Formats: sequence, structure tokens, C-alpha cells
Amino acid sequence: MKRVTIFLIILFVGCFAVDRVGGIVMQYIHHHSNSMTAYKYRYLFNECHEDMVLFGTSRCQAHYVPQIIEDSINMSVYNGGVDGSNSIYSHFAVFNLLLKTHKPKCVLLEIMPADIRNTNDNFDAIAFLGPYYGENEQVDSLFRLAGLDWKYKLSHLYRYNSKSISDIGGLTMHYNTESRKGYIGREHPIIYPDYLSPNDEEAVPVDTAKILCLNQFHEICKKEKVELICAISPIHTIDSLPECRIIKNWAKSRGIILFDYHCYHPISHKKQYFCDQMHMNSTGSELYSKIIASDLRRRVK
Amino acid sequence: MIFNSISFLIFYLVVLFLYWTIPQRYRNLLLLVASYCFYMSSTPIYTGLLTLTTISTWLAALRIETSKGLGRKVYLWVALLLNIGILFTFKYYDFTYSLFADAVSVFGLTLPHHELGWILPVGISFYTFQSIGYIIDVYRKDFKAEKSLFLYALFISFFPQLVAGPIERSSNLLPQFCKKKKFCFEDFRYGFIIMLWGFFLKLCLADRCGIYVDTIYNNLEYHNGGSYLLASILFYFQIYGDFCGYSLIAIGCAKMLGFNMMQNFKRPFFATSISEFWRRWHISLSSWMRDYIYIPLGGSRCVKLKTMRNLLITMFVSGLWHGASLTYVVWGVLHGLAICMEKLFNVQKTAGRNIILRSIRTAMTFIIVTFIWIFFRADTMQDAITVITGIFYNIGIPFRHVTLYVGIAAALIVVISFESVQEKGISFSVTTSERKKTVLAGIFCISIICYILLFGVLNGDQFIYFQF
Repeated sequence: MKRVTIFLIILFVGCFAVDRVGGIVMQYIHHHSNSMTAYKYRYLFNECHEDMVLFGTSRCQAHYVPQIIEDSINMSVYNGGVDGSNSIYSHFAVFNLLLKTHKPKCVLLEIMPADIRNTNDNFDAIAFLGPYYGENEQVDSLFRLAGLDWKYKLSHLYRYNSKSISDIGGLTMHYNTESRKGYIGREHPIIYPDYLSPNDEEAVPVDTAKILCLNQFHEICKKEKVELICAISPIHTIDSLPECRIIKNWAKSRGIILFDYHCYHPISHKKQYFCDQMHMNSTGSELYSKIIASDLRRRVK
Repeated sequence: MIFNSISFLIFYLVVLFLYWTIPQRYRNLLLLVASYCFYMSSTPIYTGLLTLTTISTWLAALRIETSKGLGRKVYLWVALLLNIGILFTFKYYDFTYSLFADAVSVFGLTLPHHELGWILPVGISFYTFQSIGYIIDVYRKDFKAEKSLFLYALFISFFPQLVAGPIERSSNLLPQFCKKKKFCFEDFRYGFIIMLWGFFLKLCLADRCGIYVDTIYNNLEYHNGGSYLLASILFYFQIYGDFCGYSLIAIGCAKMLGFNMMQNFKRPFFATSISEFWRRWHISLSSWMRDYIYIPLGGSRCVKLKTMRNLLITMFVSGLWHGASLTYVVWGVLHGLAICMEKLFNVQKTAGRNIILRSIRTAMTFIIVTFIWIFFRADTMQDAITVITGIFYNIGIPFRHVTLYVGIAAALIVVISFESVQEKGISFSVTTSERKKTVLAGIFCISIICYILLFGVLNGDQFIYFQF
């Protein structure tokens, strides 16, 4: 028993030491990595100075061309959409971390149906922000809600788990989005059906916690005097999605401007503008960006 | 409660600590209580089925031992029919009924919907086969019936192997419950290492491959043959990492408690024929099938045609055991056909020492097994056909996910390096001191734990074989 106790103590101490040293190494790697996500977060949290910042998932990243919008509204624009950040919790966390160093004049939040649905992966995208644990109380409260708090306290290596490989790989690549200001267009269409079938899936229940998070997002914008505008960019669909109607009602009840293009027929019904059901290709994005830019020109103060 | 969860780790640590601190006479009771608690954490209501299987087979074995002539057969068949009947009802009734309804509809008749829709009890295939193996062993007089219901119940419900094997033999595991156990540090160290290795296979290899495989197989209409091919290859690694990982965690857990369970996997990637593959893959099931189905049918001690019939029946049952679906049956039958072809053309079971021949045979076996796995993974026969035709007629650039490729490649390099060393039979020399072995074990464990923390897929996905 004595030997096993010594073995376990040495194991524990060894793991603790490697974990802490590994955490320091990964922190350096994360802050010097040029992977898509690390680069974007680094820019948003340290260097962002644009007047308008866009938040959202890969749909935001691929659908909004900042140069087109800038030319229209005479404001600098940065596309802060992050691939894989599939929930409002992630956008909320990124926004709070951004506010530590920069207060934009206007924020455009690209909302998608999953942002209000109760799904199994509600908190998966929060893990991308593990490296920023302990830097902001609002963000840490999300980690507590996701049940990640104690894991990040216990292990420094675990904070980097979700993006470890891309962060390490990012040391060898230079993913330059400076010229594109955060926009990453999708150039290559993927094989998808030739036909569009009506949406016969039952609407998944709305997650009230996500609605509360949306409300909090709005409250923080009001408190920081940041104008909040919401948008739903085109989805390759025939029918209007019930979740989008719920988002519309929510925006109306809060007095928030919402541009709902999810079932905009000139784009939504045309497969030449899409590379899959949820993402437009660069042709579609440029067309949509012109449309949203003219809307923003009329509405942004 | 799945193995790769915090709740299981806490549960196991408590059981381990109590086991080695309480007096010897209470240890089996602790294990039995812990095993039933473990089972009840998933579907409490089905604990009754586990108890029914345990009591019925225990009673049947006692009766078989004390009876003579026809009486022995009667008790055997009653127990077999009862337990196979329970398995059939929960696992195969709906499938059989729908097959029957489809057959009848050819004649213009429509049967009413009478599917049961019952959830499959976790581990039912495993513990049913384990108990069937026991009563057959008693019937054949290979093993004496266990007089203690308590010990027999522990044998059937022993938590490391209850829900996904290995399917233990009574001659191996039962006697171990009667032996006095003294704590052995070397066993504890070895068990800890293989348990960690099991977690590595599951969290770093299987679950990472699973991300790609699920993306492709769950969205076939959006992908081309190149993606299908890559996903099918990765599925082989996924199911190996998943199932071997589970088995190693189970074996490691048991080892730390002082029990030796049977090896369930023996580096199947190095198999040089399908026959050899089945001596290296899910060994507990393949040996069970051999001893309780193949050999009673006549095995290979008859004319070639009958041998092939016996092989096909055995592999048919093996496929059916995995699930109530045509895809699993086809999977099993294809393996049977492949083994039959090997027998027909007298393909040597092993390729000897010729390295080039071994390499070619290993590659061919890998390709054939990967191809047959398509049926195992596909949800329907239509999907399987879509994948196969896509690979041959619509090959293209696979769906790219660079970080996933890197993660999988890194894990594969570690796994294949480690298993190559084992395949060559390289191990610590007898002269290596215990202190050195402990230091190396410590370095290995720390490396694996930190690798899992940094690169493991830690969102708690279930093991594939839990669904059987």
C-alpha cells in the first residue's frame, strides 16, 4: 500500500507540474498562433478599433464582406464571426471580452435558429474561449453555467483542449485575414442535393436560457451605449423557419432592428449562391452584403 | 454511467479504495452491490431482467448437475429458451415482425402495427451469452455448477465487464471470486497502465475519428466517394479504438481489483487473413461462437461443404448478435463468406516469416475488413450501397478537415508504434529493476494523461458497443 501511495503521489505531482508548464507553453502558442480562430480572437481582444463589429458563427464569417458594408455606411467594419461558435453564449462571451479594450459604435449580431434552440451542444463553442478563463466575470459565469469552471481551475492544459491542434498548426501557417477584415469567403461548392425539400422537421423547443442570454446581450449594449442591430442572413430553404419567427418577435419586443433575410427568395431559392444549406458562397455573400449595406445605411445612426 | 465520465471515475475510486481497505470476507459483497448500483445507474427497471437471467441460469445449472439423462437436457433447454426468449423479445421482436410484415405485404396483405418499441436493456447481449456459456459448460461437465447464488450473481453482474464484455468464461472468472486476494503493486500498476491506454484509444483515437465518420455517414447526400472511402477507413480505427479501449478499461479496472480477465483484442490490424482477424478481434465473442455454435455444429471436422455451412451459420449468428438489422446480418455473412473462400482456396492461416508476403496479406485483409465495415456503420442497406457505389463511381477529393486529420494521424502514430512493439514481442527484460519499471510506468502515465487533457475528445460520447 505504501508503494501505491508513493506512486500515486508522484503521479499526481508529475501531472500537476506538466499541466502547469504545459499551460504556460500553450498560452504562448495560443497568443502567437495564426490559426483562424486564435488570430481572430487576438485581434478582437487586443487590436480591434473598428466602429462596427459583426458577431456570429461561420455564417457571419462567410456572409458579410466588410469592404462592401464600409463603402456604404462610412464606418470601419470588422467581421468577428467565428467558425464553429454555434451558440449565443459564445457571441456573448466574445462581446464581453471585446468591451474590455474597445467599445464599438455599433454591433451587428447575426442570429441563426440554433442560437435559440435547445440543442445537445449548447456550450460546446464556449470551450473555444477556455484560454481566456479568469479574464472576465461575465465570461466566467458562462463557464460556470456550462459546468466547465472547475475543469479549467483544475487543469491549465484542458483550457486549450478545444483548439489545441489548430493553435499548434497555426504556428506554421500565416492565416492573413487583415486584408479581408475577418471575412472568409467560401469558394468551393460542396455536393448537395439538386432539389430543395420543404422543411418538414418539427421545430425544436426554444431554450429560455438562450433567450435570457440574448436579453443580456441587449442590456449590455444599452448600458455601454452600443447600437445593436440583428440580422438573419439567407438560408437555402423553401419555407420560412419557425425559429426565425420567434427571433423576429423577440427583436420586436425589445425594440431592436432586425433584418430578416433567411427566406429572401431572390437568394434563398437559388442554389448558385450557396455551398451548403446554411452557407452562401462568395457570389451569394457579395450580393447579400450589398443588400444589407443599403439597409444599414438607412438605419445606422 | 459510462466509463469515460467523471461519475464513473469517482464511483470506481470509491469501490477501489473500499475494496482494499475492508476485510476480505466483505469484498465480494461490496463488488456485488457496486455492480448492481452500476447497472441501475443506466436503466434501473431492467435490473429485474438481469436478476431473472441470473437466478434462472443458476437454478438450471444446479438442476442439470443433479439430474440424469433426459432431465439434464430439459433443464438446459428450458433455461436456454427462457433467456434467448428474453433477448429475442427485447432485441429482435420488432425487427422480425417488420420483416414478416414486409414479406406478407408482397401478397397484398397488411399487418397491424404491433411493434413493442421497448428500449434495449444495456448489456443484455453480453450477460445473456455469458450465462448461456455457463449452463452449457455445466451441461458438458466442463465446469461444476456454482452452489452460491451470491458468487454466481457476482460473476454475471461484475461491473467492469457487465455492459460491453469481454464475455467471460466461468472457468476463468468464477474461481477468482473464491480466492483470497492480497494487494499486489505490480498488478495495480499494470492495471492502471492498461486502463489509461484504453482511455487513450477511446478519447484520442476513436472519438476523433468518429467526428469525421459521423459527419460523412450522417450526411451522405452532401459528400462524394472520396469522403466515403476515407470515412470507411477511419471507421475501422474508430471502432477499434472504441471497443478495444472499452475492453482495456474493463480489464484494467478488474486488474486493479486483483482479477484477471481474458484478452479481447490482439492487434487486429496485423492480421494476415480474415480467419486470423477473428482470432485477434473481439476474441471473447469469436471464441464463444466457436465453442458454443461452430464446434457443436461439427466445426471443421466434416466435409468442406459442411464446414462452410457451419462457418456461415456461425458468422450469421455473430452478425445478428450485434443488432436487429439487415446490415449487421450482411456484415456477418460477408465475413463468413470471406473465411469460406480462404478455406476453399486453402489460404494459409498465417503467412509465415516472408515479410513481403505478410505485408501484402496484411494490406489485403485490411482492405477486405474495411469494406465489410461499411455495412456495420451504414444505417440502412440503401446507405451501404450508396457508399459502395460512391467509392467506385464517384471518387473525388474527400471532405477536408486538416486539424482533424492531424489529430487522428498523431494518435494513429502513437497507437501503431505501440502495437508494433507489442507485435514484435518486445517487452521489459526480466533484469529490469522494479524501480525502473515504476519510473517508466510513471512517465508513461503522466504523458498519456496530459495528452488526453490537451488532445482528447472529452465531451463524454458513449461507447459504440453499449448499443448491443
